[in-house]
Amino acid sequence: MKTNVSDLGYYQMESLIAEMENMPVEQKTPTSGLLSPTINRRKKDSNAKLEDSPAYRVATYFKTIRDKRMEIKRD
Amino acid sequence: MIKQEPRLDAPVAGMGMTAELGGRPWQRPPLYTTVEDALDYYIPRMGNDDFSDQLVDVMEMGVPLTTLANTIQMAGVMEGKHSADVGILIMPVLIEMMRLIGDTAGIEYTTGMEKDNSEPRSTLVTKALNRLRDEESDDEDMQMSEPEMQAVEQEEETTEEVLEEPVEEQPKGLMSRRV
Repeated sequence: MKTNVSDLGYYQMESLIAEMENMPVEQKTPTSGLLSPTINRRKKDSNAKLEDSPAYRVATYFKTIRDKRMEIKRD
Repeated sequence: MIKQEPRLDAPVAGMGMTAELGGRPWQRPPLYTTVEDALDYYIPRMGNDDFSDQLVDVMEMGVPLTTLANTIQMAGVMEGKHSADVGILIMPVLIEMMRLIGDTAGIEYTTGMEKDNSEPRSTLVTKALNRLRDEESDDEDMQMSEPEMQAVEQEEETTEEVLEEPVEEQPKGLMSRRV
């Protein structure tokens, strides 16, 4: 029986980071001016759930540390 | 075939009920309930010079980082710092932090996630050996020397002759006569 699942978590985190990097950048809609929308439509935010998940929050820490490590490795 | 050995390190039945409920730290509500709180507890401690020096020594000994991360988080669970769920979630960050410390110190370490294809698994070796042995025994059965082949052919011929002889049916009833 497998008692240590840290490697699986690590791979999961790597894939989550890749997902984070490929996430579409949210465009700001103008709130004033001629091009501003008159009807306030609720946007269907598919990433809201992902951003709230603990795994995503851990992935942000993971990414920061990894970037730092890569910087050190490059030097 | 692998023989199952008895597990002697397993807890005795009912051992979990020997202490009063809530008497152990992991039976009480955890101190850090979120991953952020738990990481804020671990990361400054891991960045501490004393800890990193000891960690570098252990890493140089060849202990895999996955094992170290699992041990660290399990100790946290046992001390009641965080729940097991939070512990599992933060393990990748602990590994990454240890890798950062290792790379900063410029040492070589084992992550425990290396795909080692140089040595096949022992079970696979056993399986392959068994298959080879079976194949060899089959080949031995199939391959026979010429005198053996002739002997077998002669035997077959004699059995065929015996079979070819007509067998007279014997009367079996109570009132039947013997010829």
